[in-house]
Amino acid sequence: MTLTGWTNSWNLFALTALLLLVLLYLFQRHARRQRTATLFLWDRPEVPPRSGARWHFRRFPLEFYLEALALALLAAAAAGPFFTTREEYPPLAVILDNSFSMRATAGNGETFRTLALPELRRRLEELPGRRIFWFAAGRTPRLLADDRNRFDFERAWTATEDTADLTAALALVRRTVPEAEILVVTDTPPPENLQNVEEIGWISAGQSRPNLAIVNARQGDGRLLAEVVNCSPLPVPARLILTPGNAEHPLMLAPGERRKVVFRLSPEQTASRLQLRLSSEMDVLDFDNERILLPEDETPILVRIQSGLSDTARQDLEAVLNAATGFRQALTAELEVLPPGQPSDAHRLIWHQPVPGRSRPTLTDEPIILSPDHPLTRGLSPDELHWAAVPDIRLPGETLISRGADPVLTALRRLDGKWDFHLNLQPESSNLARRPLWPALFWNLAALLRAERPGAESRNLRSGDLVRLRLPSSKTDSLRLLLPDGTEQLLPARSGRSTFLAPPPGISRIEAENFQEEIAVSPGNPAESDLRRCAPFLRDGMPPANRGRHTVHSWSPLLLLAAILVLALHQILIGKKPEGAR
Amino acid sequence: MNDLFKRTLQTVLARAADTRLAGPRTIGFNGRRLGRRAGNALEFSEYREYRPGDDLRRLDWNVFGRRELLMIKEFSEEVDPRCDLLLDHSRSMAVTPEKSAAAFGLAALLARAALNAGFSLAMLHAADVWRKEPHPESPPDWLATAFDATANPGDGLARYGGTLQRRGLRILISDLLWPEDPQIFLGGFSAGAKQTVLIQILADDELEPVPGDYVMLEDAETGEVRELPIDDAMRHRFRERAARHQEAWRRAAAAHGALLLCFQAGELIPDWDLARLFQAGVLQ
Repeated sequence: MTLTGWTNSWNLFALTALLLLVLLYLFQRHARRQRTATLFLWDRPEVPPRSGARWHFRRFPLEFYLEALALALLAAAAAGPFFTTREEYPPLAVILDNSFSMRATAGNGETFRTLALPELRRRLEELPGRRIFWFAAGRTPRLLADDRNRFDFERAWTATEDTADLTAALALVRRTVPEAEILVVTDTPPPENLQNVEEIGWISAGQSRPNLAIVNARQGDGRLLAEVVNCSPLPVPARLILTPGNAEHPLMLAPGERRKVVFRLSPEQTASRLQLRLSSEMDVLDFDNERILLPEDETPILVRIQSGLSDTARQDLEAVLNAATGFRQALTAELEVLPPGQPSDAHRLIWHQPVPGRSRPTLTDEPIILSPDHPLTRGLSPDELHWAAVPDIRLPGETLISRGADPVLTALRRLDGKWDFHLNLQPESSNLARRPLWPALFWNLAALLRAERPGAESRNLRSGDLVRLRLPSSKTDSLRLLLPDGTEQLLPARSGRSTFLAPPPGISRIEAENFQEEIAVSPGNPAESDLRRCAPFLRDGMPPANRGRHTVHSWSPLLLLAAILVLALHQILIGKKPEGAR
Repeated sequence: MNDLFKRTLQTVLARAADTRLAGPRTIGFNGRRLGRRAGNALEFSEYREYRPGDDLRRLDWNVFGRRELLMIKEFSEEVDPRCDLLLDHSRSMAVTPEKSAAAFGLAALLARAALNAGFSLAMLHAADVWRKEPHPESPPDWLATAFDATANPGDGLARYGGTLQRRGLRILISDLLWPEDPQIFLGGFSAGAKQTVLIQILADDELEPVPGDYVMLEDAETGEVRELPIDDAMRHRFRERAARHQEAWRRAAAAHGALLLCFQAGELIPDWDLARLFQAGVLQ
């Protein structure tokens, strides 16, 4: 819409100077009557016919009109006329709470999400045509669309994530579009740190409602551990049902109670897809009442102990391999334990031992230091550990465990992608095999090597987890991800690996060349399931008066220039000597 | 007759006592003026060669006897000295009191000088109707002293030109400010006259542009009013037209053998310096 107007309309009163100018001219040009005999020698101006005209208007010279024009232009310039070529507003950044709590139903059966829509639409239509940035606030905020027209935000607003990091979303908005007016659509009032930030518009259609949820479910060793919570102020009866098998577990959950339930699984159940469902009449959010668990790959790692190790080392190895469920000895192995210098195409655990007569192992009181961020040392404890090692051996690769400054366990990935683990240990003088670190180290080793197999590192994930996928061929450069809603995504792969954010909750299917895998993503966030924090809240944010950002063009400079030109012309006309004048 | 007129007449008549109007010819033996044509008067004029048909009685036999030349003796025609004095009574002559007083005074002076010189004077008041003054010798008693005519002498000449005397001296006292062609006026006014004298009386700076940037000019005779924004260009054009107007009168006067004298009323009034009239041979 184009607007016109005056910046200082009072200055238009300067136009009264025109009246003054007219009076001045009338006074100055008040003709004195003079008799003359030489009238015939004067110019004979064109006189309008007087017949019918009662008033004879005195003609002013051109200078008068130029002066009047200059005065009018100056007065108009002082009044500051302006026009706007179009009306613009700062863009609107809408942050949609994409957590699953938006799916909770209110008393009338509508979800928090649908309850927020009318108010959101009203604010969108308040300033039609403005640019709108759509952000989804989930575990990781992301830009959904940069839209000037009509973006189908309802379709993109899935509300399936296990949390909504509004703070991170606001930071993303302010980084992406700093000038934008921000509108948050969620189900809770602003957090404490945003309560006084009046510039941020807020729409919360949430209501404090009772809710029950499965907040955790894990399968292993023939058992299924489920954890349920009662997020309501009242005791709530519920049933936990496991299929297949239809094992039902009745519950009476106290207000706020969080309870663990263990199901024993049959071998058939262990090998099949499990569905766990929580049923209660008082529940208002169905999304967090169901878990689907896919059978994890628990095939043991095939291991072979080569000759050349000391008897003590071999005994310690066989003891830990036989005790752990993750390994099974075989002739064709995925992991070979061997002394240095022996080739193998499999993963290798190279056990460096002292050469008789050439070096002596030492046992020092130097501290045992574990690498904190490697999967092989995860959960290990160096307490009361005596580690005897050959001091003269330098191990290649990344140090995982060191004794003082000397590495005693390192990891090196070979060019063929296999791992070489170098272990400098004199078992006869060490207590490692009798400490918990020893089986835990091999448990981690089994998990690490199992992750090296083609497929997902874990098939059961929670929203926000990363899917770490290893493909059978390192030449595969892309894979297809079939989402629970039937849509399909094409994801990149590199060196036979791909890592991506867990898709929306549900069963997703990964397909690549000669490979397919299913993963199950579950929402599991007790905080998100707790709807007692939800409450309606509305805030306009930036006042509408401040939203308008007109592209204002002032006529004043142009009028001023025109006035100067008119005055210059006036000066020229005054100063110009008529041709032949003396 | 206002005080200015009275003072003017008093001064003029005092000055006119010893002035005489000079005629085109010297006076004859009997006190009359000599005509230009040859006549039978006793006043010898000149010799010329004999042409067949001449009167043999006018042959100068003495010359023939001495030099054997046939010479004819010519005698001037003796005429009565006549003077027509025409005073412009149009309103334009009264644009200022000095102008009208100067014109009236000059007319009185010339009338008295003409009578002093023995002219047969016809004093004419050129108003809307030309009237002959019955008492030209007594200016204070002239029947017309007002300048209120709406017609200028040029307008009345066609109608009243017949009243002018032939072979006399014609004097016009006027401002000569009318738009018609001077040639036409002078063609009629000088026809039949022995000599024509035009005395132009102008108000001070009358041929200069009026001061001011915006004036309402009223024609003295027609009453036509014209509002004029006067700028330099217009002043320049006025000066040019005024100069052309005066030049047109000078040329017309030269073409008709008339004498044109121009006086500013302001210059004439205070002490009546008549030197220019004497120098021009109008007075003696």
